Amino acid sequence: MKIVSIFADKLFSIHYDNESQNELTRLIELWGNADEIHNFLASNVNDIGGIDKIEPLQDELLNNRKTLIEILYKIGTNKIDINLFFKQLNNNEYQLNVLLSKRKGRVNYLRIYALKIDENCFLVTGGAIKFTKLMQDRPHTLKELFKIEKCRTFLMQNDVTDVDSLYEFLNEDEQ
Amino acid sequence: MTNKEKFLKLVSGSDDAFLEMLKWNIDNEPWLKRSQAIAFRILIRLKELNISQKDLAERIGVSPQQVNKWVKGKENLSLETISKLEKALDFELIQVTPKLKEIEMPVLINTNRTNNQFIKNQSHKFQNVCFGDNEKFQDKAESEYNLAS
Repeated sequence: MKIVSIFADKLFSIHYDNESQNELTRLIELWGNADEIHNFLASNVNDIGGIDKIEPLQDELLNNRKTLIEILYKIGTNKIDINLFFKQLNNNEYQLNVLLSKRKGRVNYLRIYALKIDENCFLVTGGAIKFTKLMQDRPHTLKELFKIEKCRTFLMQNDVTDVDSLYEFLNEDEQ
Repeated sequence: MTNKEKFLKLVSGSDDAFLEMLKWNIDNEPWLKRSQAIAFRILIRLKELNISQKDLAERIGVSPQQVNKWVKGKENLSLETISKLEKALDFELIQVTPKLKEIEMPVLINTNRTNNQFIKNQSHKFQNVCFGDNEKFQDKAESEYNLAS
């Protein structure tokens, strides 16, 4: 597991050992792949309300991806505050300073999951197309819960709890 | 030098790749959208015909990998390729919109009493078709939109 810099000092992504790309790049590629989108919808036909919904949802998901790309581009060019995009994943998390708080960036059906390292600094751990209410409801979203927890444990084990300890860890990793 | 400064020095320039990828997607969105729409049509047609991507590749005389690239919706397909796909699938993938017929419209400049009466008559006809012949609606429309009399 590696941490990859996406936007210098504010956005990072996990690169899992079994993947060829870091999570954020992988998701942007995956959600732009018509074949993958079509197969995903076809295999989740019960969650989308029937086979007739495949065609409109294909377009909808591509539009969601377009919006996501525009948001990320604006974050990267300092036109949007990154803190506004990543909201609390746990609705019951009301404390302001939760250590490595679990977050989600949402564009309609698309989710980007991340850990908040510090103010203005996030680490992407994965993402999913979500049609059901709870992440526990489907294997592919449940997997994302495991991933975010695994990454949180990984950071804690390496004493990464804020932005300074993250940079210390990354410097050691680069050397 | 702080940890942050040290790290930013190490990764200097390497972040541009992601931003460039995003920009490429934004700049190329108009044709990518069409490529994805064509890919979806191909995938749906393959299911209708109950044939695989490999079968389609054989029909056209290309590799299955090539067809797999096309159905990802990331290829800038030529008209020649689209025509080959249409023939192999016996299905129209894209349609060129026919030229719209010019609609004759009345000239409404330099309105005089005759033209104003014409507009009023036309608006009443339209409103009758849409909402029925309602006196109150006529009064409201005339006052709100100030139809000349």
